[in-house]
Amino acid sequence: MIKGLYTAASSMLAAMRRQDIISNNLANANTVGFRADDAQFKAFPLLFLQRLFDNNRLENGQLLPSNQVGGINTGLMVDQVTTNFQEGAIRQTTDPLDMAIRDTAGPNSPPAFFAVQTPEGTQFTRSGAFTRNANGELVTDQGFRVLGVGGQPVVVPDGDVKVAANGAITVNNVSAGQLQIVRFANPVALDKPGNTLFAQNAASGPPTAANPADYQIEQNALEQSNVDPVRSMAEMMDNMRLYEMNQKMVQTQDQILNLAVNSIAKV
Amino acid sequence: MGTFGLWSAASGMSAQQTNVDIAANNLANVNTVGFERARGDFQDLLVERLNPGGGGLLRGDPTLHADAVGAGEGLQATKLMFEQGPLQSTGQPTDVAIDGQGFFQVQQPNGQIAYTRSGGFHIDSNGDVVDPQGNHLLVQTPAGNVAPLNVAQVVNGFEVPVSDLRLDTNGVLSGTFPGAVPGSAPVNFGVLQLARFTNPQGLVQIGANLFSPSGNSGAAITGQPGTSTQASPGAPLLRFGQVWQRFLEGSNVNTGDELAGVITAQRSYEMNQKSLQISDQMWQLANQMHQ
Repeated sequence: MIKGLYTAASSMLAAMRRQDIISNNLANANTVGFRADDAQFKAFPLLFLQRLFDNNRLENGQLLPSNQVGGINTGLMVDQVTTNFQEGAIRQTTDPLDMAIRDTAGPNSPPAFFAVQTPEGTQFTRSGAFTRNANGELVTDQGFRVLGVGGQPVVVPDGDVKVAANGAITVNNVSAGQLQIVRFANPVALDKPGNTLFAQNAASGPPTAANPADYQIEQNALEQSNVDPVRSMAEMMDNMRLYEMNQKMVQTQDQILNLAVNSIAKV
Repeated sequence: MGTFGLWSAASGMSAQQTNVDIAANNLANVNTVGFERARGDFQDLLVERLNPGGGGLLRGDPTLHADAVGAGEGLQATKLMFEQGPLQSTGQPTDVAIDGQGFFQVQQPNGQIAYTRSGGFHIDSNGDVVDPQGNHLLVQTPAGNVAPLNVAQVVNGFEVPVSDLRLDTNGVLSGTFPGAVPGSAPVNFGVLQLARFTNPQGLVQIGANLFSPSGNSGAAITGQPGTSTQASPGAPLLRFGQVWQRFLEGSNVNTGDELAGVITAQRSYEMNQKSLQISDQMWQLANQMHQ
């Protein structure tokens, strides 16, 4: 009986965690290059119940099948938060330093990323809202340098900037370098430190240069967030009801316990 | 835990509020000469790890992600969009528009040099060419030094301004004074100097259409209209735009784009408000569990 109380409470905790994630997705429905998160639920490990104080409980040290009551699940938790790397819509802009990556290798191909030099080492992003710093280097909004092939910053002097589909940059028809475009064997495992950046780890594998046939850089364009607001709102309502039901379960079990404690003894 | 949802939604709401503020300022300046529109760039906020290092988890261990929750959205930068605005004919000889990239150099009353795209100048009582705030337009004088432009001569103790000021597309200023001998050569007042920056978006806005350089913009690179310069042989040419007398550059705000942005921001604000309400209801239900 007490166990049921905790089962329902654990579901409430999981639903609340999921609400945090949906809330964050909705807050970033307009953030360039943002990738939505999704909470994956999982049940607590199955417990096997068995009868106690049974005379024939053991036979050769083994449980008799007749003593086993069956399995019981004791709760719900968020197993992992996975990032959805589906491509976002591409919006045209008027800034020549705005770039978007279009993955052209098919719907399920791993996404390509821009490489960015951060204080925490090289990180990766889908957001191509770039600008220049005082040295003319291509940087993100936070001032992190965008890396070219060879891991060097790309210097883009003021002028008529053109970005080719393979990431080669020319200014007034003079070459200004080539953007480093990478991909990962297992992008879903990438860490997400915020600022629309992604960080590699052992599970994601190291970055490898993307094949120019598998992506296209579009200039004067920005890739929007891939949050689907309608779906997120529906998920939020659904999640809210799950939470509510479990709250009712807690209350009901509390009432039953109340009767057990206070009423049965009165008879 | 739990309260993250509330704060994510609240940060989303305030970010959208900022978006509307930026769009409102852009729309308010749809008719301001030389106005450069701004754009807000937003980023998701730092992801919170609720249980750092707990249970000996490794980076990249998928279970680590179970404890990682984003904390909403925040304004990362407002970006000035220096796109060419439309040139509008005004007929005023002291109105100048830049076709191309570059800024006028003006000297503020405190002596500091500032930069502007707004070319609505006039001649003041001293014969100085000034902008509406009284900042002096700087030119390269025939003597070769950079100084405020003065287009008057003193006759019997009075400043008499030039009667027809002429400016060609390459920035050469000339004019004749009232009473000059017909057919005599016009007086040369010098050449207008335009300034360019490695990173114009790093300029700091110090008032009405007036910009000041910062460490992020780099120092001004000056040159004559219609010419170009090169940082080093082989480097791309840095072109200075041409100047057009009797024209003004209109605001580069696109009303349609701004209105679409306002509508998106408003809907986004509503969604965040809804998610804030739901997070709140969850807490309310939790508080009502024991009655």
